[in-house]
Amino acid sequence: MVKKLFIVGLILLIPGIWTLFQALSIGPASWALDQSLFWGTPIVNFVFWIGLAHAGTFLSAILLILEVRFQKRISLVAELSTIAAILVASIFPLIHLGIVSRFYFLIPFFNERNIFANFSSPLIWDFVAIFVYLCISIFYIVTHLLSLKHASLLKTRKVLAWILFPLVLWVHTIVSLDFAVTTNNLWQGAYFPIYFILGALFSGLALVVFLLEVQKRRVRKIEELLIAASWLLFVFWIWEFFQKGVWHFEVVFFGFVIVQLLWIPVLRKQKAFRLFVSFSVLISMWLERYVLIIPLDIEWLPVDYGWFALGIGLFLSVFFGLYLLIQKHNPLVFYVSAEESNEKYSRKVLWGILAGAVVFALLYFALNYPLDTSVPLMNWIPVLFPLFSLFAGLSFFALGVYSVVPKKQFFLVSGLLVLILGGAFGAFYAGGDTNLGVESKIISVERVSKNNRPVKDLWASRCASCHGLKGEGNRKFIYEFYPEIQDLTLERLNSQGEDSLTQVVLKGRAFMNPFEGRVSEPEARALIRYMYQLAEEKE
Amino acid sequence: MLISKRTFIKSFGALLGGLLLFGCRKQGEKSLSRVRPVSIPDIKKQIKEAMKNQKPLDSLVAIPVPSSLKAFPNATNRFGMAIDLDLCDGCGECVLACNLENNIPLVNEYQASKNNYMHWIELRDQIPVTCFHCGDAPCEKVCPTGAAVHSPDGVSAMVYARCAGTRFCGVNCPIKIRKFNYVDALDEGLQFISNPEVPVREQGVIEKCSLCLHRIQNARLKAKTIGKEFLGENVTTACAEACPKGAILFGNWLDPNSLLYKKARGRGVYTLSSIAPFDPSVVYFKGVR
Repeated sequence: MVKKLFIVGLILLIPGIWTLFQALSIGPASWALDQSLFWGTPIVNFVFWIGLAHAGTFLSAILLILEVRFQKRISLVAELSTIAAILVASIFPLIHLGIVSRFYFLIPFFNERNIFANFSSPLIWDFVAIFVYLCISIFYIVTHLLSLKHASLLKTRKVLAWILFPLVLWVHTIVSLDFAVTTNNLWQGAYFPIYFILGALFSGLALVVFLLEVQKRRVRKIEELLIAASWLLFVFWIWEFFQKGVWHFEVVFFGFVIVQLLWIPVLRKQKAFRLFVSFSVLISMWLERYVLIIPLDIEWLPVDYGWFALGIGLFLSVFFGLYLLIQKHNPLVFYVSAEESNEKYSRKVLWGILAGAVVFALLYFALNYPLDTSVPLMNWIPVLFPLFSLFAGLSFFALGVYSVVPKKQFFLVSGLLVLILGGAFGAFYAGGDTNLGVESKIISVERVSKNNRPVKDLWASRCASCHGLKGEGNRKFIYEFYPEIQDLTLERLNSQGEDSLTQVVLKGRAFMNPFEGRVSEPEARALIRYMYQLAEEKE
Repeated sequence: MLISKRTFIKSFGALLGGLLLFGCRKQGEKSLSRVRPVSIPDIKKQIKEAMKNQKPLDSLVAIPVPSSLKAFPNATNRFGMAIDLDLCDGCGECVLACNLENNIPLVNEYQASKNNYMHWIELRDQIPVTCFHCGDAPCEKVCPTGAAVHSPDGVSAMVYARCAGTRFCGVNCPIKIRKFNYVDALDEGLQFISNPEVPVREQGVIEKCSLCLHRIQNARLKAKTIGKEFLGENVTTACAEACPKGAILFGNWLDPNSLLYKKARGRGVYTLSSIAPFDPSVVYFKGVR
């Protein structure tokens, strides 16, 4: 069964990759959007898959903290589904960008040029929160797998669960804020975070029911949780109806009416029926997001259908691929769980790491905070906790792994990681070339400048605003924006040479802007000769 | 079995990897040779089509005359416009002038059939609607990269080079006046280049009314060169210039000598009801107060 589903996932990936190719090469025009509907099916799928990702954490981490007994039987499946679902979910917002190669503009990273991301935008919170969530989920599952051999890691697992518990609520609250902070009346409401979190849990529970059935196992408690969650969501649907007049029969039918059939023992015993209910819940939750984000009737394009193939195909192939890989090494891992350990971290270590996390978060703000910002400090808080948990989670994970892995190996791998991350950090901080190249050139100006203008006019129109008509510098303008410019002397011009100065005009240097595209190369050369003329006149 | 499992997985992986690489390949530089000239009658035709099926308009509500911005309380300028609804007859000349001034591309037939045009000024129920340059703009709050920013002059500006195309601003605009470049208009032969001062927008960025920022900046540079304080004299927008009835006024809300400020005296100042909470800089004049 597992192998079959893995193959199904791989086969679904073929139309999925085609969809990806279409979406990347054509851009947002390839799926159904227009000038009044800017968010389409990729966002629907993103919210759906990120919701599925939360259930894994809920069933593994939160139940571990609450010391629920059936947690042991489902934790690894739940954790694996989290990893696979986050991977799927994180693809959609990236594809959805107008210019995918500019995705890194959304990383709230301090840089040399003081161009900061806008912290009042929920998308920045999203980016940070989901990235941190993915990291800690990976730490969590790796700890789980290692703890099967080394029981001392169980205490690390418990600490990571404590970090994940609030984080999962935090992440989905932020996802709901993407909608709740807008001016759209249908998306507003203080209840949105809870509504979204419940929806995520509901769909995630349904997914876990399906994944357990694949293993030919059944956990009755989850079915009961499913019924409970359906009632809670039903309350919200009624609330939405009275508040906003929103009522979607198909969502309620698939998400509430059908789930109630689980009360009937005869039906509940049937495997096929349990699978039917779990799919019905998944359909309902997808529809719920769809009607929320796309309230109008729109005409679907092929890519809109392709997202299903991409999402399901990638999920199945990643989940069952990892499943098979893990099972190969440890065939019983999905059925046996390690014993609980009562070991605990010493207070000193706990407080040390917490203090470190606070210092790290504050340092991040201090480095990132531009002095002239108009963004209130309140808007930074949503990224505070994810950063805090990233530091704490990484520290506990490193501590735990350090205690079980051979020292040489540990230092080799962590040293390599630090090198790579440090290099990336430095590269990001320095930033790239500011000459944006062909894509941002003002194409039309090139055409205009092709007729041979007298060089004096060219100087007056292009250079004089900063350098002055006689090369003396336009003090009034420069004083506001730039440091003082160099004196124009023959000696200085000769020391640089005509060729290199031409390149300076075209490519720019320090505070000099690049003029490539605005003046042609012969024109630039003519301008340099004109500078010689001006310098001679001056002397 | 015809092929072994190992071969299947290998060839499958190679196929997927190849497809992925193919999808991510760098597209060649766009050649200008493919550009088909767009003529002014083409633009006029699309404006006519757009005017035929106009979108509905929100109700108008009265607001006070715009005063200094909350974010920049010490600024001396707040540029804005007023559209005199007593004079405006919805002829659409302003739309044409705006298109020519700002190199606004045409849209392809598919988008045109869905009534989605790139026009920065739209006529809705015979009333010109454009970006209102809200002082407390909802679009700027949600832009993750800071591409939608407010200038101290009161212009809600777009930094095209900084826009990653998340379209959150468009989602959060109550009147959906921001336009997204779904296609590369230059490549598709939809681009009309009439004004070298305004950059051509690339595929994947949002664009909207800039209050003819290039005109403001040119006048500011001139004023700075001769050492004068710039309060928005001798500047007007393309739409205001083109309006045959003189119904559109551009000016500085904070300069008592500005024509806009003077004309606002005694007039009823209105805006759309969905925009009213956001302190717009572009308003409607209607009747007397």
